[in-house]
Amino acid sequence: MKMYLRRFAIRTLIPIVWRISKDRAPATLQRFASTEADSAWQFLNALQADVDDELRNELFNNALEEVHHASEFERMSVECATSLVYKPKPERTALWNPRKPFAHFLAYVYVGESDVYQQFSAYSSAVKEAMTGQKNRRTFFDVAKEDEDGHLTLAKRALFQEFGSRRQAEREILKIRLRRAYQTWLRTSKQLGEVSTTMILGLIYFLAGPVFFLACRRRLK
Amino acid sequence: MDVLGISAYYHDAGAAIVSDGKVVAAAAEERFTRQKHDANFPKFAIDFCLQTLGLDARELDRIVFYEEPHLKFVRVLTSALAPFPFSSGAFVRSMKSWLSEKLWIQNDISKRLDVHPNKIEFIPHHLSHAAQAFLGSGFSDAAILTVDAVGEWSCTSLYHGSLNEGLKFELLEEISYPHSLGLLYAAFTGFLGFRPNDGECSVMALAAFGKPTYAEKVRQIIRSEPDGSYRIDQSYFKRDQFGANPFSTKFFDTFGPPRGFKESLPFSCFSDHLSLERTSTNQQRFADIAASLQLVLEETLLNLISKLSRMTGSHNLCLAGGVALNCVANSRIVNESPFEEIFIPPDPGDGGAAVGAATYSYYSTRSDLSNFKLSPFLGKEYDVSESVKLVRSLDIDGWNSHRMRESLPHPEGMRLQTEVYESFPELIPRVVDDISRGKIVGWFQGRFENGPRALGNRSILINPGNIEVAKRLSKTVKQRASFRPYAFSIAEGSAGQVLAPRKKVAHTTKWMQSVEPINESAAPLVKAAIHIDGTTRVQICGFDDNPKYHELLSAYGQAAGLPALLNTSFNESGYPMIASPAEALIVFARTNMDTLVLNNVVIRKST
Repeated sequence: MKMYLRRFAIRTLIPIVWRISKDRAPATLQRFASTEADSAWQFLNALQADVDDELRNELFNNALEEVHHASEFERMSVECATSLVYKPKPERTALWNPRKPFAHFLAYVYVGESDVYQQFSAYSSAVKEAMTGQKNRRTFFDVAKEDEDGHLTLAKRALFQEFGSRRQAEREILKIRLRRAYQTWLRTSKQLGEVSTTMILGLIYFLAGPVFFLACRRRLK
Repeated sequence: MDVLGISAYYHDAGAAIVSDGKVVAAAAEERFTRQKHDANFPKFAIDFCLQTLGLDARELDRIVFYEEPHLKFVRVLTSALAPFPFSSGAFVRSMKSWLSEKLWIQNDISKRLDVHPNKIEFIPHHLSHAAQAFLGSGFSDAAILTVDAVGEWSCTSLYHGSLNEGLKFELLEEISYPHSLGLLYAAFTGFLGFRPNDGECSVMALAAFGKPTYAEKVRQIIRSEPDGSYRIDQSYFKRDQFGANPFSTKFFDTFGPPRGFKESLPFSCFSDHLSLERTSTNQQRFADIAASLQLVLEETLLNLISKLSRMTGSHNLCLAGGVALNCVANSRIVNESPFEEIFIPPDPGDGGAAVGAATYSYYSTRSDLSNFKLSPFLGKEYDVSESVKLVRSLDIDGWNSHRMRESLPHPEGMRLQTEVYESFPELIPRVVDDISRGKIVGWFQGRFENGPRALGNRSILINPGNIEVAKRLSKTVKQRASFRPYAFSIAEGSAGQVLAPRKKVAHTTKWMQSVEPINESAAPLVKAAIHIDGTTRVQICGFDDNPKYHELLSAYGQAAGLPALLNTSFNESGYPMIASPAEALIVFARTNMDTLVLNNVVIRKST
């Protein structure tokens, strides 16, 4: 249900928003570049784990794919931007933890990649609407979507192998989904809190500003 | 006694650890996170520093942050309120980030590292820079100049450092915000279509193609004072715009419209296809503005340095802060300042300020620096055995789909050839052979460099006399603008064959911190690494500086006649220099790099 709602929202809103604001499309593409660069980093970081040759090879190839996605999204962002786009540099949090079983990392990969896969599916359709005549972007979303599907399959297969049982693997996936849902809730609450913070700070600005601005200007002479 | 230094939350976060007087580890956070100029809390750099000593954070004696957040907050608050009533957005944005995070750095560090807040100290930003430069220099007495964007309030500081009666830093003068040379250079960087706090090196490179026809106009902005200091005329800037478009109408009336970031610049430092006739008036205008800015910056720094010389009477000068990364200005300081010896630390910017914070804290109560030596090779060392396993199992058929756009596709049937050498001397002839045959070689050895310069441990190397290979390197590996020149390394003892005669050999040539003119007769031997003005950024490498790299240079000299290699940082455009073997393999896979050397393992692409 959530997936269909999100897909509907993206398909409906993106074409409108991207047409209204020229800055939105490059900023969104830059955000995707940042997400993909983070995924690449996660795979590279996980290469430190003691895993078999086949899995190590697959982790490396996934990292390579994600680096490619990041650079393509970045290129697309530059192509449609009219000015330099802000590059988000979020604080990295390693999903691979040497003190936890490798399956824990795979479960994270599975949940993360399925989320990205859904986003790319929705954007693939939305971009077609938003950028009529600009075929390449849709094609690349499709390519990236297929690659993410491949990562999903890998993560799922390796996850089942590591746990030895489908049920246990699904339980781990559920745990991670719940943890992510909780983090989303925290983020949303923080954003809601920021609305009131913005109002209070705005009020402080208009109360304190008239009193102090001349002194501040003198200090900056 | 173990002291951890931290820099974070502006740009280039980093960490360094000093144990019993020695800097045992230092690294920028970007090297671990693959995010260029990463300013986030340097948790990976700190982990690395602690792992190097096998310590838990709770065992640290002191933790030192590289600036005083409360003073900085007052400056941010002042500059957000000054443009009232036009700065509500900027005020709210900056206050949100300060009140939620940056102001509580003591609690933040304490919580993240699980240490008592009493162990955490703060030292002024410019003192961190000054300490990093002075303590690393080995001088017992020196004049110190720190110039950057802005610390708490200070943008430029003049110190006198001395060890004669215990460690002493005397602040002689400081020039406060908003009179900042670093911020001004960053603003011009944005005006010229590059990313501020990142593209300054492009401005410096572009300057060589221009004539300083706008110098008088830039001098109207950077106003020299009779005593040698300067003021920035704020009427050229808008007070209510922070970063996005800081220029006033007066600025545009003076310099014309800004360069769009996608507008091409057809300049090339490879002299064989230079065609200045192809450049439009507008493109030349940007080069002329860059040249003018560069010239006035150099004049201003020289004025400050003369003043510092008069104030201190010292023969030694230490430079630090982000502006000390300007190697063209550094050269003029070396050649024209009254100082006999000049020292710039390997990472003079904010990343390296963590080293300064930790060393200052350690040595503030001591004056015996016999244990202290500052090396650029303070980064992490990696075991490559896992990478060899990985290389042997790699399926490279799929690589073509994930290549850098500008790279040529790998030929069908391409395979990887891996050779593991028992000893380093056995490996050298193979690498020399590859470079001589025009191959692009990725060179990965030991601990990575702390700082922005590749000094032979994370480098891409080619024959410096072959322009065609350099062009291939620019296009298919580095994605580098053609107006940006390459640097080269040369074995100590042979530098005189290539570099024009100089009054003195400065320490700045050890770590690629200054540019040097090239002998006309030797120019063909290093033509791929010479800028359009006939200079190059050089690394003169002695055996003690980097034994393995020196050995490679010497062996190449025996084969090719000159022990010099074009040396550029091992990275793709938009990424920081690589740290780990896996990252090296990613660059190797995505680009047209021909050979990758991981410690004693050589990997080649072959059909």
